[in-house]
Amino acid sequence: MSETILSNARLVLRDQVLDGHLALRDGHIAAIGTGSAQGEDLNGDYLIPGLVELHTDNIEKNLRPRPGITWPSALAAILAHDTACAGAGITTVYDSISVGEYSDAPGRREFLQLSVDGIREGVAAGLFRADHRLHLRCELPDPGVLRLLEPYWDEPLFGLVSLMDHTPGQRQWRDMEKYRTYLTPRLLPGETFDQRVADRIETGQKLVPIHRREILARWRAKGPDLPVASHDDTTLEHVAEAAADGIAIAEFPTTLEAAKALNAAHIGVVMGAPNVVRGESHSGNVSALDLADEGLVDALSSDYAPFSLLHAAFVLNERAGIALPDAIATVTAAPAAMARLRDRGQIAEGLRADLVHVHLHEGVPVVRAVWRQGNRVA
Amino acid sequence: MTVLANARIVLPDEVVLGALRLDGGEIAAIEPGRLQGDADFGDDYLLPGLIDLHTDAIERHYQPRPGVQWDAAAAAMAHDAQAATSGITTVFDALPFGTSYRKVERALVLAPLLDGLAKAESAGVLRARHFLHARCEVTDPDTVGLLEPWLHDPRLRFMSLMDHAPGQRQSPDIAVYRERHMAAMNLSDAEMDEHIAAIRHRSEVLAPEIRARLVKLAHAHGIPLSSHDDETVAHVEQAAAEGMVLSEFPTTRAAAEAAHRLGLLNLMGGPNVVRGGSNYGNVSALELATDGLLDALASDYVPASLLHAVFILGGPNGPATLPQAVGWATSAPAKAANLADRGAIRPGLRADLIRVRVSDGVPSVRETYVGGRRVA
Repeated sequence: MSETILSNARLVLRDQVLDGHLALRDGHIAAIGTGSAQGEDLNGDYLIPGLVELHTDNIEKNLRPRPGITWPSALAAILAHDTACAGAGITTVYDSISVGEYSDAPGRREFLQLSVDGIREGVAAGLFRADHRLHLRCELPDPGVLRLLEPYWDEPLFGLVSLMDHTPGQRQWRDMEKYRTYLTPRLLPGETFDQRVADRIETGQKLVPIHRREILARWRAKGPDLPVASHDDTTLEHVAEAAADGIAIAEFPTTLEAAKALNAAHIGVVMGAPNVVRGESHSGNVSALDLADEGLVDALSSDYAPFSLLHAAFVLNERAGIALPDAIATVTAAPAAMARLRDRGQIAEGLRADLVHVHLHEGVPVVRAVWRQGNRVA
Repeated sequence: MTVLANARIVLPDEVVLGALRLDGGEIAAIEPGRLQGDADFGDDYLLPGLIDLHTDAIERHYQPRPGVQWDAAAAAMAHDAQAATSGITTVFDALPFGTSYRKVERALVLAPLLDGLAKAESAGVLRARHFLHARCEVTDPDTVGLLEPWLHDPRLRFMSLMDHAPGQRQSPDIAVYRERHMAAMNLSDAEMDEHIAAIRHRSEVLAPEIRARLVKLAHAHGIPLSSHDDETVAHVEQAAAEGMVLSEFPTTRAAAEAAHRLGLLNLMGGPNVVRGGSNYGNVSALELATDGLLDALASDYVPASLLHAVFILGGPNGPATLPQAVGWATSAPAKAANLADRGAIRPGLRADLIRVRVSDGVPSVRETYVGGRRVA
């Protein structure tokens, strides 16, 4: 069978960085060796596992490239998103699609079916560079969330579910002044801020527990080992609730207190890569670098900027003093383990040959080449 | 020597099944028929790398969310990766020199982006070849001063002159302009009145002299010039008299017809083609193409729209042949920007190439080569 050798590389293994070479055969990593070998010369650059992305909103940006403009071909928009992922070194991507809404701005609802259909079509036709899965982010207070989810329970690409609650007064919207700024321009004619808030809180109290229970039950019926993520955990109560529900992934906890409790409860903490690269949260939450200093960051996600993922891993290495193999693991091995993907996430013999050739330029990583299952895709 | 075999090669006037030999970063030979190569294209299309005269995409990487500022060199790399994977091998980054005060914060992006692009370029970390397209706002008294330091920069290869005052061009209807920008600009009624009066005043009083100086500078430095959002025959006549080569995004059919009479190329945006019309109710690119009035395409604000537009216009239901539509995104922009070494598949030209597969009418880029080297 055809074999490819990548040589003169700094291989970032799970526990060390090794100057050596690597052989790919039949889409898998066949052998790892020290020293050089006859093959493609990587000029002493890094070779790391392909990145695993658990939560990207980037499809929405491509479906709506400007306010008010919905792109006419969902497939074309998703292909553009796919190239952005692959170009950023991401070889496995959970496209997070909103099920239900927390604002009255129309749009996200219509994106659900468009996105899923586009992803199905691209996967079926083998058009994507990266391996795409669905992450359905369920807005629990939305009265329609179960109805919206109904068509997708048996979808084979549906690999991750997350539970969100954007009811005002808690989590992302615990600061009511921020919520006021956000909501005021969106109020309906004649409606007051206080009315809307009271209405939202009432709906949330009624619907969130019911929807949470139902979605968890349906998901667990699909498979006992399937991953579930909580979102924007803020208080100890949120963490206790997640632990009681057997949730193993916590996306973007907003406080140090929550992150510590999640860590103690062995729930994997996923922080936003933009937060790491920028050194702060864009919405005033806890800084991911501060959490990393305390050893509380398990994995990263690119959130709204695909190219931030790889950059953030190198920032963790440089600014938080995390050893490179551990820093790279936050964007590879850790998210792969959280998603229960056992065939990827590390450079090890027998795993999928999902690999990224990275040149480091003044601390900024440059993706030189990307392989998915041994095929060069970017 | 590299051989790309079994490809449907899009030449300037026909599509040929064959192989392409590359040598020393250039196209060495085209050989019809099937043969063994270094890469088997499996009947995928092989096109010249696209040349994008006008893309704003870098700004979105620099400010990925409102109020979020990214490192400029990292933004340049992310934008570059997106261009290369979208099949664009020569990028003219359209950066704002001066603003219409419609988006004041836009004035702040110029210096960091120029610096970020220069850093990434000199570090050799970009995949595509990047040039600068100076989009010069003629209603801004700062424009000439902003441009002057860059006139000797070898990357500056294209200029366009814009006048975003409402009442003409992109915004003929002041009431519509008002409604469209009120919320985004966060102005009160009175402030909006003041803004509109001020920009219209600048457009009448200051713009003619600023415009004349910019035209003179462009010619003195051999930089090709384009007009922007031409609405009337008079706009195009002025552009022709000023020695411009191209009319970017003409907003009416009358302007596009005048451009052809006067020897200017008409460039339209990929999004207009893919969406089947203009955002602003201007003339449709498809209509211009159907009537032989379209000459060139640019990606505008969606990088992937350039290739998609080519396959819509040159596809089975489009008004053009595939080689003709490919030319609108390759040879035509190359000609407008005086790039003689690229823009077609021909021996001796740069081996800037893309491999494209079409599924359900939607093209996807499988591989990208710049100077014979695979970059995506």
